Amino acid sequence: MKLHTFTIAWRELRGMFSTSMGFLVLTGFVFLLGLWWTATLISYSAYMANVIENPYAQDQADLSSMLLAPFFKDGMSFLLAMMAPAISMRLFSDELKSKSIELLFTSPVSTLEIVLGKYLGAMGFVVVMLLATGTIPASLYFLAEPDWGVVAGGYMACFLTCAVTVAIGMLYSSFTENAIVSLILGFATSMGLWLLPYMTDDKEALIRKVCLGSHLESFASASLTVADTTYFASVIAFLLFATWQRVEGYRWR
Amino acid sequence: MAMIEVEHLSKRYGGQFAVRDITFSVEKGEIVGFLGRNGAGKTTTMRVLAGSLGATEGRASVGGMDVSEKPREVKRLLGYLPENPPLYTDMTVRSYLDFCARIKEAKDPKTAVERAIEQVALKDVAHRLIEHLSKGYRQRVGIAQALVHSPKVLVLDEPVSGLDPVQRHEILELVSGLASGDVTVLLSTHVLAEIEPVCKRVIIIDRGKIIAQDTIANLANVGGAVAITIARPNDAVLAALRAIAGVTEVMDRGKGEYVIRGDRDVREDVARVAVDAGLLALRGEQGLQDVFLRLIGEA
Repeated sequence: MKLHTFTIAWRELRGMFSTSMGFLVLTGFVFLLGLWWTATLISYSAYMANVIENPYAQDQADLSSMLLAPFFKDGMSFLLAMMAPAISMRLFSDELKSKSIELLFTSPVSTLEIVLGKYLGAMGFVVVMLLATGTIPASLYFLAEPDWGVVAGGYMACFLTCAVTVAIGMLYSSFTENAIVSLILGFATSMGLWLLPYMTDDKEALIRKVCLGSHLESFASASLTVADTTYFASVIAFLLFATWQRVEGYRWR
Repeated sequence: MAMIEVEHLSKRYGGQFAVRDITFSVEKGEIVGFLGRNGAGKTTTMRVLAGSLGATEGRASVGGMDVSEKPREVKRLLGYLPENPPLYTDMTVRSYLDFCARIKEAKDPKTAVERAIEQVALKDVAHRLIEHLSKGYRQRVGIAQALVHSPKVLVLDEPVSGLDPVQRHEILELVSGLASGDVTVLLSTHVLAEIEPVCKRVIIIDRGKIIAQDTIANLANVGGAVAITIARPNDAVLAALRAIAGVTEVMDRGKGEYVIRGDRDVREDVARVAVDAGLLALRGEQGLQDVFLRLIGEA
């Protein structure tokens, strides 16, 4: 059973690199993230120059809280959340349009294996995207003494952001044969999940509990909580379950 | 032993029946033609057999196993070619077939892929991307994916559509060869003349119901029709043909060709009248095309 899931995942991952879309997303992500990182470093350097002249600000000039946590949470995670729908938009839409899904339906593969295989394939691409940012921790290693827990937490936050937004995009792609519709809906939802918490200052507001951003803070600051872990696990499980039911429905139409 | 059994199968889309209470079986090693117009219910029936669509009522089994109860086991036993070959056009032929062999649980995927490539004559294009192939080659790749795990039952929906006459002949030869090696084949097609030499038996479906299932020879002899060409047709000849006992219809197809139908075998009597009138050609038996058109009521 597991083998089928990985066979499908491997095909999906290879498929991402056999079209220009995969390279476009990867290149665009690395380019934009590079710009963001450069801008963040310039801003941090300017602040540090100020700190040298103002000893009272030294307590706040911490690399983790001033540079790394905001970069991972507001920069890299945000960028990934916006780009994830481009990774997932074709997962089912293309199969439904070309009717190639019939191959999977008539093979000894369960619908759950199909859904998990496609999801893992897309997440494999996310891992490639994260690996492509390896120059950032490498430069930190040589030039500074960062808190590696914060770096690892930041990467975990990015990965979980994608885990949710890719699952959202995959659910949309199981509803439509048009990959662009899936992309637009995925993008709008990701944007909503990211921006809606900013509408309120109340930390206990329901909207903050439902949306992504507030749950990433513990990961980005390397202080993992059970509540946040449960949030991500249950949201991902729900989205995969919904996709599974949707795709299963095609067999009985 | 029946390898395919369909009993009182119905499939409804909303309030509309695509197939209604159909029953048929296909014996081991048989090649059976599944004929019908577009929308008659052929593809729906084949999809139910292949396990990609659930039935509303009734039962379908392959190799003695119920399709809905043991879907995995049935799918290991069955190769299916849908009307539109299910291809990943971003893959090469060989990598696509390798993927198919693995998800269809072929015993030795690498050997299975090479065998399928050999069987369907894809060696020259095995390294090429599927998106760069002609329609004929894509159809072959579709057939290769149905064959790759060496299934005991093949369900082929329009396997020769899009192929040129030579390719059609080659594919039907291949299908014929597989059946002689005890593979059971159910195939649908619009090119009726092409499957006549391959299929001994046909099932004809119309508006979701089976209207005939028998050998082509038996179907051709029922309600015997004779096609003749008359060099100088005139009213007297036509009146003489109509006057033959048992003739129910004389239909003008134009250019001197007439189809005479009767409620008995009227060939001898027609020959006698036609010789006197300057007969040029007499076809003693019906082709599958004629049988098909008569049964669906369009001849």
